[in-house]
Amino acid sequence: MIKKIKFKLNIKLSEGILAIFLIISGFFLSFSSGGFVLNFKNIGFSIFSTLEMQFHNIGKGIQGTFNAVRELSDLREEHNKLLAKLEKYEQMQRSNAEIRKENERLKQQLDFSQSLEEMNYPALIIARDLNETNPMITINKGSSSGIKKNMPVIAFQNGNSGLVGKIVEVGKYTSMVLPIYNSNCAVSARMQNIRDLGLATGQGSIEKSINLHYIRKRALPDLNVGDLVVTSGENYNYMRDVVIGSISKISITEYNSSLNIEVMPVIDFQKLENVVVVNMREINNTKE
Amino acid sequence: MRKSILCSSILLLTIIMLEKSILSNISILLVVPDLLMICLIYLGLLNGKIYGESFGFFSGMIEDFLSGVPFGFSMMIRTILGYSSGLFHKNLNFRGILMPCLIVFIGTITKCFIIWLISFFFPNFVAAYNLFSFRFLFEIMGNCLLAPIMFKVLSFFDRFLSITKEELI
Repeated sequence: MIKKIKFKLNIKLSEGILAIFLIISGFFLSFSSGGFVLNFKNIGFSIFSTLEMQFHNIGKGIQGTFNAVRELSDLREEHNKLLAKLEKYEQMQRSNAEIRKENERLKQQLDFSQSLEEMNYPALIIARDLNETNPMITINKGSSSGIKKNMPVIAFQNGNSGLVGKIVEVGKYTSMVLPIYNSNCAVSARMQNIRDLGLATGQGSIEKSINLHYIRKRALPDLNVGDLVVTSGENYNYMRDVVIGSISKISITEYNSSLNIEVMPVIDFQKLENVVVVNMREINNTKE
Repeated sequence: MRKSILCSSILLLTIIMLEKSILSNISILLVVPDLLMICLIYLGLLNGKIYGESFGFFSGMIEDFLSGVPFGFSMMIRTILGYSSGLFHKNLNFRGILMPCLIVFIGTITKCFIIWLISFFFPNFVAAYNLFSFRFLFEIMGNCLLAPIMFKVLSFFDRFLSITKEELI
């Protein structure tokens, strides 16, 4: 009898806990765009993303240690063999070339940052959420550096500057960026040549192109593959004329009054390491 | 029991951090295998429904803090996965190579089904998985290949992870 009661209680307890957990998660899910839930998430994000940054640093540290050990063993071999002197020289040459490249890259970033009219904050990408449902990018600057929600994020890569996305979550030392390839990201865009207005939305994946909607069919003769698409600057969400990408495909659907345009982002998100967060409300004091 | 809960929590937190801050930065990986799900299934099978769903709930919460998905999304998926795996506690031999692959395969399909179900109710926030995409294929392959290895590695720590003593005998 006692055993039976215990068994029943046990069943009820586990299912009861399941129901409570599902109600709580369902509640949060339902109100995930509401006020207090957002703050709660913000607090959690601040705590755990700081921890995430520490993990990132530890990972880099471990990688650095392994590299150091490897270099040490190389040096030992070089010490014992005469030929190793040449190897060491070559290695130094290689490392020199790498430093020069890194120096050039950082100089480009600095020049780019100083050339902007608006106040801006250069940042480093520390984590990427690759899931197709809601891909995000985490950077190493937060509210302590002056980052605020909805600030546009741009980048300078291979001589081109382009739009990366906007800030959607700000922690103390880290922030989350909604990239333009996220399906929830919509950017008011304009064709650079013909100045037609459209709406650029992502498809959720880093490999897929961006869709440009609401470009009227009449504009077709003036459009070519490779034409640039820039931000319109309307609503002051993004700066005006920041390059989003170039047209990669134009197609027509009979029943649709507008064209189906696919845009290839100017930024290669796979290789992106540094970004610049722009504060559109303040002037850049470092500009010469 | 306290020690086991603490060890399991540390394990789950480490896995989340590893997944979000290190594995997700390796650009050659098309998708990151769901190590957290594999770990959660193992803990559910080892400790039962209550612990499975509880670990699922709290690990999902931390995952929600760190990712861009709507808050509550991972919590719900992980809770159901933890509970479902706990249903087979003591009823399933999850040692070896084939069984972990099979269990994690079913787990990934279940996860996909739950996401589809949630996206049905929240179409504006959640985009459902495409079952026939390369991304899903790579994820399921990665999970199935990693499952026997992770189950084997975790089995070395059963002493610290198991809450029910008889499991160790």
